[in-house]
Amino acid sequence: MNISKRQNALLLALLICLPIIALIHLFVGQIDISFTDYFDSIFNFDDRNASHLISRELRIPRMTMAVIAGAGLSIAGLLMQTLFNNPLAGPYVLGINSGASLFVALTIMTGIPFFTSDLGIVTNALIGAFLFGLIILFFSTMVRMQISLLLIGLMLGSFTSALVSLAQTASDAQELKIFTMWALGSLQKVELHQLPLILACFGASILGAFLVVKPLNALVLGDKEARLLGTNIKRVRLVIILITAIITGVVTAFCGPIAFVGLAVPNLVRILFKTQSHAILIIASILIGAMFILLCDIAIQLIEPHFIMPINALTSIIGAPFVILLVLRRLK
Amino acid sequence: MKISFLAVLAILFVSCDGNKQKKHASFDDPEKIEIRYAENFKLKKIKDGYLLELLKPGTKDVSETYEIYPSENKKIISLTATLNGMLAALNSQDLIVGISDYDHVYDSGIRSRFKNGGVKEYGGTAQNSLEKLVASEANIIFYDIVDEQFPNQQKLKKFGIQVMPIYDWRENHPLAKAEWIKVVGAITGKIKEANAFFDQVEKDYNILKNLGKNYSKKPTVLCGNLIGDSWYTPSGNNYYAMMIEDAGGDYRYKTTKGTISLALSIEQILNDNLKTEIWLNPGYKDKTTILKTNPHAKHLGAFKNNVYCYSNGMKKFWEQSASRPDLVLSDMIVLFHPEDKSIGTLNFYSQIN
Amino acid sequence: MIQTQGLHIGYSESILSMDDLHLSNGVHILIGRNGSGKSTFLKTLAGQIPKIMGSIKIQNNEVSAISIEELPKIISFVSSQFPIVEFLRVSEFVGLGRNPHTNFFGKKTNKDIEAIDKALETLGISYLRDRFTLELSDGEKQLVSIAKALTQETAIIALDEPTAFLDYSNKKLVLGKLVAIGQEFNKCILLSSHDLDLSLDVNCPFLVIDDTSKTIRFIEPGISKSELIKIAFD
Repeated sequence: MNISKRQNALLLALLICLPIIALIHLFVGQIDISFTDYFDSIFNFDDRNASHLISRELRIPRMTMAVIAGAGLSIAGLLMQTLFNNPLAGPYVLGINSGASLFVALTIMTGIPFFTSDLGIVTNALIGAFLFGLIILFFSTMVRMQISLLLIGLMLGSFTSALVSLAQTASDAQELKIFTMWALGSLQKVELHQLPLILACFGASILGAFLVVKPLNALVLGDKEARLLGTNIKRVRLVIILITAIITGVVTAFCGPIAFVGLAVPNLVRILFKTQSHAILIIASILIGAMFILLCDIAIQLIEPHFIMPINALTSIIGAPFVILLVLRRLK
Repeated sequence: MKISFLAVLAILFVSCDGNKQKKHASFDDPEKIEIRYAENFKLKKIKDGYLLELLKPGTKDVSETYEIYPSENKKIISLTATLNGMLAALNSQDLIVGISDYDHVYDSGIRSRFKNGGVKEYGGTAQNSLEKLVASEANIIFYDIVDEQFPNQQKLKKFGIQVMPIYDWRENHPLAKAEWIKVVGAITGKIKEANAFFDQVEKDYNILKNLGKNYSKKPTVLCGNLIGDSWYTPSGNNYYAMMIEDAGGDYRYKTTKGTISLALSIEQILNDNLKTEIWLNPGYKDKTTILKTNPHAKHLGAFKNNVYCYSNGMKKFWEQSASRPDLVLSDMIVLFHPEDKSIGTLNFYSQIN
Repeated sequence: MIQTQGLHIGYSESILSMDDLHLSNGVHILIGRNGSGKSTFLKTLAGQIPKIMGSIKIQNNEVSAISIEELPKIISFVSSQFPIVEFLRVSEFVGLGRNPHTNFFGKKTNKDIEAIDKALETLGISYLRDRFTLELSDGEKQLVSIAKALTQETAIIALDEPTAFLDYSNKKLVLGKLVAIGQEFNKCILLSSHDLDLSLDVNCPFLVIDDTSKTIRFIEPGISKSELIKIAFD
């Protein structure tokens, strides 16, 4: 009982912190925006008022996207780590991002109008992510060592970046520029009217993750043990890959690639909560993942007047050393 | 060149205090060389040729020295659009045997020579092939890469191929950029023509400038676009900001210091520019593409009817904008003051739809 | 409880035939050389690998016909390897034994929690409840694994070499617990082992793999050690 009390207290603390950080995020930036501006921008919107526009069209979508990207990628990472029984797995290292990137690159560069539409890019990022998820899944059944799968994921990444470079040389300057802009990554390309679609995908994925809590708990013991406990492994694998693909695809399509969040956050969560109960791990990953990206983005905006840093760079700067620590810790 | 206009702006780092005129000791030679605006090179007559000194930005120190003998320069590889334009302006495009990319060439003379094999493609500065360059038997290669040595420079020298950077983009006065045509004049042995060409450009520019300054109504102007999460736009002392002022425009960031580009957040841009009347150089040819990379652009006041880019003649712009600032200024006046029908039509710019 | 008829098991090259069996409650000990097919038999029974021919029935149902959701309610399997998982608590690990019984979301009812408590108590390891599985000793790991199988509340428990990595006292303890469980809870327990002396002590029937004739033979309790060795290892 003591343990679950501690876990609940921790969850409660995170639950209180998240909205506070989200609120701080809304008020950070080079333009001063007041509470009244937010109130008016929602109930009394005037599109000729800069403060209204900034709060409604920039800050709210940016904050929402930070929450979704952080929470989503963390869940994706958690699911993959459990599925592949590998705490160093994640959508980025296993090349799921690469799949999304490759398909976005191809769609931008083919120039077919449907594909280059909003929905087109999202759909293709999804397909790419799912396809690469299946490829990794296929390889996971063939390799025994955990490290092999990570290497295969990295190779997939290198392979696709080579393909993307090839596509780049064949594309015209304008397409190239659009792709380069996309690949730079940003939390602030999202528009208010796109949020419902993104939120729907995000919500569906979260729901999906909760639906596989029971199999996830069993998968902790490995495929064989899970099957002995009545888990339909094949179905669960597909569902997990699908959820991961939806989250990674949507986040990658709108924000560009964001590294290490999916890998680092679930590990941090397990270290904090010291459990393998996925109901708790999922909730905590959502909360900590969201907070992590929000804090990163707050930091980026605070240093922006002096120094410009893309979100992907900051998450890597923090995430990569953390992952090295994790590896060292496991080697002990 | 694949380097975007914005990126070029972003790397300008020459400090400059306006159009201070510099008088150099004149030579007794009839083809006297007088540099009035440019701050990044010096050109002197020597026996049978010229001495070109490239100066370190912001200082008077000589960083590189080249002896130029026009009679030797029979075959030129030009990897920069500016130089193509300047050679064409002096009717010397026949000297060109190599370019970076045929698709980026505007001049019809170079294009037709490419088609009948007189001109070959050598790719950008970074990715060209040493063997191909040697086989070209060119005397000299011009490039404009930023802050970097030309690859295999020493090896090329052994084969008698000189490489020379063209730093027109480091100049921070529109006429200083144009003045680099005198370097081209020295190289091709057409210094007289180059002087005449520049004098005409200078004269035309100043006439337009006097016209531009006298408009009473000056529209507000915004430049640039997002790269990543930052909106790059020229600082107040940048040559482009200078040209907006010369054309009778009210540049939104004219009071900012420095010559390099400003990097502003989209929030700052929206905050400052909801009512700005004209948006120049968004970097894309159509509004759909602008929105794809910068969806929030639609809130800008100018987005609806007043976005302009040099998309009318992109290649022409790359080749000629440095040597013909008068044409660029004329375009700006037409855009800023459509009520004045006396200027004529647009050379490079067009409205973006 | 377990019935076989003309059963052949194994992988493509090495096939074992089998005496027709009719196993009921109590402990049955599987004896045989390394690689002779002990695990193969247990895995066939647990539905992990398909049989080659013949019939193997649990409670009158052909194993291959029982769905993967139903099978874990009838038979639990304790593998020879204990999973290496960080931050997995004993309570969580043992609780996974309830997976076949809990609802879609894996929500544990009072009944589930009672089953966990009871299993820990039966094996005398209630004090391990909040410990991490990685911190357990080999003996404790084995007891915890058995507790998980008990929690599953199945009629049959199959154990792959449960005493292999234990010291003598722990071997004796684990085997004793299993015999007690077999009697007390009316379960059919099958385990493979190399510990002949201990196995003979508990006075259980044997399933001996005769490596020369490639058959698994049922041997009543009371067989002498030399006879056992002769069948299994000569």
